[in-house]
Amino acid sequence: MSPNRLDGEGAIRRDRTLSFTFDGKRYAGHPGDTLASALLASGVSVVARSFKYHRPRGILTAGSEEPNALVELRSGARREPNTRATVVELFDGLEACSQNRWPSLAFDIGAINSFLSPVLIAGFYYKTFMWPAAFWERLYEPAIRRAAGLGRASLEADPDSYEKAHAFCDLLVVGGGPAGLAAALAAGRAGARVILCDEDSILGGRLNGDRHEIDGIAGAQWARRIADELASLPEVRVMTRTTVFGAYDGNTFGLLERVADHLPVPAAHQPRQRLWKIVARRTVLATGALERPIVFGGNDRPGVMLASAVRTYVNRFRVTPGQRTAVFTTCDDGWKTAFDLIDAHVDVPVLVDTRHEVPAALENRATRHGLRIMLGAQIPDAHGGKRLSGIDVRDERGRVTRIATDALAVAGGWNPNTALSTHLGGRPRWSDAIAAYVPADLPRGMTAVGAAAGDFSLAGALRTGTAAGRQAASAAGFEPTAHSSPRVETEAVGGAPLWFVPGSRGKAFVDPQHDVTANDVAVAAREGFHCAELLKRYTTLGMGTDQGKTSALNGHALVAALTGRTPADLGTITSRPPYTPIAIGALAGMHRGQEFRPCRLTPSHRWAEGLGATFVDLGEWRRAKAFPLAGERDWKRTLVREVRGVRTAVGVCDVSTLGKIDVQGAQAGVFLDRIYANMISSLPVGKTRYGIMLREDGIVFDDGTVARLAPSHFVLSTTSAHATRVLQHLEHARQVLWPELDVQLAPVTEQWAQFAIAGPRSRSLLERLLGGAVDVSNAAFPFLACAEFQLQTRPARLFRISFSGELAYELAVPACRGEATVRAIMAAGEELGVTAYGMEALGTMRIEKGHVAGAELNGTTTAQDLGLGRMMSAQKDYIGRVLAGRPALSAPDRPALIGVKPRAPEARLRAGAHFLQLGARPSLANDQGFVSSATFSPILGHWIGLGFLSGGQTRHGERILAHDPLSGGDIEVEVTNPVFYDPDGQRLKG
Amino acid sequence: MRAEPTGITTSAFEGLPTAVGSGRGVIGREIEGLGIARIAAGRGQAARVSQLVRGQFGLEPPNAPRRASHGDFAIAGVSPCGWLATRDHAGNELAPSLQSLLGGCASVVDQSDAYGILRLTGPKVRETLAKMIPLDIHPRSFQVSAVAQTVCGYVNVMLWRLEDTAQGDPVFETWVGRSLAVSLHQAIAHGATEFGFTRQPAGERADSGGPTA
Repeated sequence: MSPNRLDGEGAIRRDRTLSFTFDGKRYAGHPGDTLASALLASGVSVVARSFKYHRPRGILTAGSEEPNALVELRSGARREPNTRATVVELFDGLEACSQNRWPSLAFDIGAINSFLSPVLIAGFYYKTFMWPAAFWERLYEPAIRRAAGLGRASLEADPDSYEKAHAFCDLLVVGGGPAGLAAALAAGRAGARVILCDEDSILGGRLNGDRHEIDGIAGAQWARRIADELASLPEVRVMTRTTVFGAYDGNTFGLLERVADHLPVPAAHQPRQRLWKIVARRTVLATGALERPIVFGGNDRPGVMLASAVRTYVNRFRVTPGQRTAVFTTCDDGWKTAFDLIDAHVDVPVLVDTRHEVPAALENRATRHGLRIMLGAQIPDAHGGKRLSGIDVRDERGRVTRIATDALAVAGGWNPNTALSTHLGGRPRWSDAIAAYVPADLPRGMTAVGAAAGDFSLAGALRTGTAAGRQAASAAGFEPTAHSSPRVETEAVGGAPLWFVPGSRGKAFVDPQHDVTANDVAVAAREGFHCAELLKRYTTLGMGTDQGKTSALNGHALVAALTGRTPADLGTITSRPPYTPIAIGALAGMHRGQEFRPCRLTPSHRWAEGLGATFVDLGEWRRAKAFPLAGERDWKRTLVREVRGVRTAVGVCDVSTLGKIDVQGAQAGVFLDRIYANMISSLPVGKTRYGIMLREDGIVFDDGTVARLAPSHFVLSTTSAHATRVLQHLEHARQVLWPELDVQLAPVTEQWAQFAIAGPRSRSLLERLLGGAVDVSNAAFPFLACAEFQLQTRPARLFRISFSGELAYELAVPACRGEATVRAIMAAGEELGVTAYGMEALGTMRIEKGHVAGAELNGTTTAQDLGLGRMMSAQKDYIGRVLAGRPALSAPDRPALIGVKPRAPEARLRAGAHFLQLGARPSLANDQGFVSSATFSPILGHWIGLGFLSGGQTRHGERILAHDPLSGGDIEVEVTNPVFYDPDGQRLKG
Repeated sequence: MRAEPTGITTSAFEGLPTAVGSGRGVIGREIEGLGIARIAAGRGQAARVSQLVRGQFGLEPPNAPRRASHGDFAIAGVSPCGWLATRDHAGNELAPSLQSLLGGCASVVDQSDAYGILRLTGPKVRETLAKMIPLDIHPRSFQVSAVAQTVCGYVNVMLWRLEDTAQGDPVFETWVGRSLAVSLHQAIAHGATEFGFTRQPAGERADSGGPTA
């Protein structure tokens, strides 16, 4: 069952067996396994097909940099494509499937693409499909789209939940290997707030994959000991299964914690993943290094694996990638793999080192083990189909020998993992010493340590980690404790890079995920794509889900060599977030469905729900749209009933959403005179006035009412949409423009529930409701009166203002009494035929009255355009006065507010229709204006609209066309006065 | 016919679930009836306001985002020369009483009904709030009496830290504009689900709810 499982201790628990399936076939593994280690243990060599050529692919790495082993994990709604088998923790019942193959992984029709490889070279897209041009949309693009992409996302709703979290710390340590552990420990012991993250499920990094000794104990055991101590420190938070995916401004980092990815389904109330935003004073980059593959023919054959990954599978998971495993190395590190394999009793047929000289200690040890070594040799080609069968080794004299092996460990040297150091624009620096890029120009507060900084020795990792941790603690004001440094053995970490094995005959892959070969890179170089950025775009090198973690430098070095330069001359690319793919669900967190964004509810919301109201989201608010009665299926019927109810009896509507601003101070009147275009300071106490305010550029900003409650106390109302912006505008004026004025502002929208009570019987209703608390007779409380009073021991306010055009009042009560008050209004009005009305009826009645609203106050209209020019006071200065006087803003042909009604009574008018002269061709040049608001008027029995028509104020009675190509139809309309109903305003004064 | 009374008050959290998840990691209690008034000193009158408040209530209005309290009265700095004053169970009475005290030198605006207030405590309250609040609420950074204007799950809130409970659990209050109380409650309940969340409606005594309002 597990032919490749080795004996001995590792990090797996053999006492339990886990069952899982891959492509429907059942396998077994153990807790502690990854999907990759369990597949390898089971002898599965092919786990995927490559992107372009559909070549069989195995497992290259043991980490998140894996380019090949991408699988679909789980099924149904939880199906997740492109999951790296190397980081998937095995659980009982796990289901995985290969992807990008048809009909099966073993036999994939797409492999025919390999024969087309002379055509499918770099720049293929740019060179083909050029003609006939008409084929692009109909044939080429659909065909390419079908072939493109990897894996299939589930189309069902994600059943899991996600959340976000914030954290702050003195030190964020990215990476839990030896350097990171040392840094976290040094800072944590000093008392600093430390967060240590690692994407693995256990801490230790390479200590778990390698055989080191620290302070006389095994490295993995030392890591566990340090992890235990860190867990005991109250200010240290250790986050495993957590990837720091991005560095952002302000010392902020994005992290993804895979809370329940290692479980079949999340536990009850447990999120699947958590997105962290962490602000850290200091950061230690202890992200280690990524091993480089070597580019040679057939280097993608299943069985070819990075040498460090082989060690991880052998030492940590007790799995060998093959029965015989050869080693191909350019550095001392590869030798460790050979020794570990031999110690695990795996046959190592040969160790091929491209260097002519290696440290004597390595050679001596190899000799002791009887290991066949070939120095100054290279492997130009690997052979095999779905499994590696042999390698060609070319010795230093050029003789080629075929050696049988079913696995090959490849050690091309190490690249410091610099990704996070470049997210804010920092460019890494080339180091000749290690033939790789090292972090340079780091973000403020970030220090790179250990292998991430190019120091590949364990001693160096511990030393630099400790120093950085101590430094961070000191910077945060903590005294580092005196602890002795851990004792470790010295090790050889030399190497000489080999970017490409010359003389390779087979396809030599630079980027196996995107099937970019050495030949593709050569084509790009020949065609002039010499720089790293152009190479990437032309060949797609490094553009896969792995973002070129194992491939970018090889590609750059190759193109440098082909163009007679060094990698340092060529430069490299910087990476950008995220470091590894992040699910959209994690970015959304809880904000999905109905909770997509916060929603403001009116004080009467529950009452309206109880009446079966329909709702509409308007800006931040959810408001009752209409109150259909049982059996009222047609919106128009409801609208007609609600409007007639108001116009013939009385209606009630929640208008709490209108912005309310309290303005006080000895110079409040002066202040408001400068804010509004019309005069406010002359308003008597106990009166309300309609006001408009302009922007600095002379355009109308907002309208509303101003009530004067006391000589130095006003309450303004704003439109619902502009409530916040008007307050900002006023605060700017108060704090910046006229700080010398004695004025205080307070937003009071949330404090008050406010109801419009409108209709000829509204006074009767109020008399019943208020029980004499206020005299609402016309004489005592005329149009535009306002009063503060006590209603059942609580403050209340009454305003006689009207949006509907009827006799109307607005009653304000403390918000917590809003629901009780609207119920009381309905009860008081029951015998009067009171009607609850919503936004539809409100909108209809304001259009009938020609009142402007959001569609007319649209940021392009002047007071004159709106027919409100006479409100602009000539007696005083105010914001917007000077620029409103610009000639273009008072030109007679500007579109001005008009009413329109269809010539055919049954015709439906729609907002958005454009005005044309009858018979004129629809064109921009002939455009005369547009319909801004339209409604069916229950009172008039036909559709009406408001709009802006060039020179409109002098064109009443004219016939024009409302051209509406979007909704299908042009209708002839008559230009009218915008006030359709009660133009003399008799009803509201009644 | 007789009008129905308009005097019944409705909780900002009316109808929302009182328990989510299992356990008592986070315990919420709604605070109602608190008198809340916004005080803004008139031009050049801040010192006079401080003097009058000190004389009447025996405490100095903080000139920083911090809360000072004495008996049932508390006052916190919320803007330059601006404060929010609270008095337990005073409701709409607080603003007029402060108006008579400070009428000549400050504007006083009643805000007693403008907020939905949740007092939150429990062993997991800090972890829960950290999910939604982008502020450092570590005990050293956000100390007892601290006040902040911030967001909680994209909802604007005022965050208060009160005295810890006798068991040593931190106590926070989130004040949210009443219209957004449901959205805030959804966010808090979502974040607290894994720890277990219970909410006592106003009036019910919390068994570990910190000092009474």
